[in-house]
Amino acid sequence: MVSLPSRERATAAVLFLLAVLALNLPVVGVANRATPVLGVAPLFLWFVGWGVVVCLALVWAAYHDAFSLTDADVPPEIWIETESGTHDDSGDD
Amino acid sequence: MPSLQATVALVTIGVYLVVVLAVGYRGWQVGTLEVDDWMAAGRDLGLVVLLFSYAATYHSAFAFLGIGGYVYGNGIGIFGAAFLWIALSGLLLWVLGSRVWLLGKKYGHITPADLLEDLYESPLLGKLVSLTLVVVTFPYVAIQLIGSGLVFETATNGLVSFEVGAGVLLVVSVLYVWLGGLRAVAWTDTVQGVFLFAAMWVAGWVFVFSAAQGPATFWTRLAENFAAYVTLPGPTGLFTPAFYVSLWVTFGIGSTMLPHIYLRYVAARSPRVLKWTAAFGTSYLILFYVPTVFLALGAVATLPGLPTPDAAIPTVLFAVTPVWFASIVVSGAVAAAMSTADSQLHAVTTLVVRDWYAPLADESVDEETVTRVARLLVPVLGGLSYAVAVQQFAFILDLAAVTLYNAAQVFPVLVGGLVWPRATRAGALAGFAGGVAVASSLTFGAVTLPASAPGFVPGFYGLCANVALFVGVSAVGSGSEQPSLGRVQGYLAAAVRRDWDRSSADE
Repeated sequence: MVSLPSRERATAAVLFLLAVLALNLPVVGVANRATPVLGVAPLFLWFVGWGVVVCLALVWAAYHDAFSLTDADVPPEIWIETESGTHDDSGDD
Repeated sequence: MPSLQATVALVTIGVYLVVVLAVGYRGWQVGTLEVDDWMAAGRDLGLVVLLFSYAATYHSAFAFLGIGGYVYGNGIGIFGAAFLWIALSGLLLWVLGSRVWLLGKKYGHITPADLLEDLYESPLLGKLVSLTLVVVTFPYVAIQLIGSGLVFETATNGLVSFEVGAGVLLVVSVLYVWLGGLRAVAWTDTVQGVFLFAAMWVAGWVFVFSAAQGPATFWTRLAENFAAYVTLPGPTGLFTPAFYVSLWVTFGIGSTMLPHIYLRYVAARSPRVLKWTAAFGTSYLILFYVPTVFLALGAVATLPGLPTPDAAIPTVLFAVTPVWFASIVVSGAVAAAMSTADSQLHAVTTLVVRDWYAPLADESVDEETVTRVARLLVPVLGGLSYAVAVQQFAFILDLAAVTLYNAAQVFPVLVGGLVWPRATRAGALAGFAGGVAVASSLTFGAVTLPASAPGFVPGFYGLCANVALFVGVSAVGSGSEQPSLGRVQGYLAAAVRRDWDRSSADE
């Protein structure tokens, strides 16, 4: 079954692409001034702001399994062979 | 009588080394002599360890020392490019890494050469890729040792020499890599990752609120006196659009193909672990850089004319914060360098043994013997890298410059082999060899481009040549040359469609 792009996938992809565009030249030129805004250099504020958007986009995407592959895509034979699917992912033993 | 600075630094680094050794020892206790266990941590790393291992390995001495030098010379433009290459690496860690993980589970691949040999049925391509990755990664181990030795010497105010400092750190790294393989490396990375993040965040904010009277005053003074450093293209005009874009694309792609990063794809317990590592690892790496700007620009404002720009961050810390505080923080740079050096040492050993020794060894050689050979090789390669590091050959720095550029050349042929049915062995060989040749020729000045050419970084020109050759040669060749391409691509496509019965039937 091929699933159509979900709203979550589209949101994550759009947010990510938007941040990548915003961090690139020439778009980044919007903030290319020395005079501080909110007490911070506008260019650095721009970098950090869109950097945070990148982080949030990836966290959002991970939360919604927006991009493949996910655990659900892994053929059962792999889990059966290794029994890894029964582990708690947060553990590290 | 050692000074306060030397005493604090020695105690901090000493405690850090004891903790790291204890963690590495624990990694050895739970490990086995199976190849998968030593080289890929039994393909069973969970989220917490993989997250910190990815992040600490990704951020090398560059994150603590190199970035300071870069900002000191060229302003803050590097942060935008760095955020972009980190973001690209994070996305690829998930999307590409999970596919590499699945194929590793299914077919037993560990190294990039394993996968490429299987995809294109070409031992030659596998060997070529392996050789390139070993050659460009090995000098980087020496670079990390040079960085950690210099930090040791600076932090102890010369009490411990560069040679002794680098030697001590190498011995500790070799011990736990030898003992526990990737599991020990990953566990120690967790300690190192926490330490270096905490050190940078505490240092940056303490600096800006104490020495610089708060962020608002700090930025206002910079805008008044050093405006070129807080705008593009920077004081030297380095950050042109062509340079900026080609830098982050090449570094982002190149980082994902470095063997010590690639091994983490196959070492994950599941795609879920990779997915969350991509999300939180990217956040860690980006947020790490936020306070770095205060220290790097602080050096610009307070210490003009530094002879060694890479020492900007340690120098400004010792100049404007209490000695005991600076000593502790600068020890974090040791963690940054060590967490990358140990991973690279392990990765180079793994590539040499897996891609070169194992195929040549007698078929009767069992897994335990292969692992023992790998363990024996760790001190040998470590010793070699130390010998190179203490000589501080100039060419080592040149070789390190091509590491990411050449690692990036693996990407088109690997991704092409996973998604493009018409990819061919001849195309992959031509693309990879052409890309490496172009990137290296331009880096070492064997070929000079006309002044009218866009100012892309050499690795980006290599990528362009790589893709053009790969696609061009593949397009004129036979698309059905390698049945294994269809097998692998079919398996991945069936997984994404969750059409598993069909994928089994296609075997």
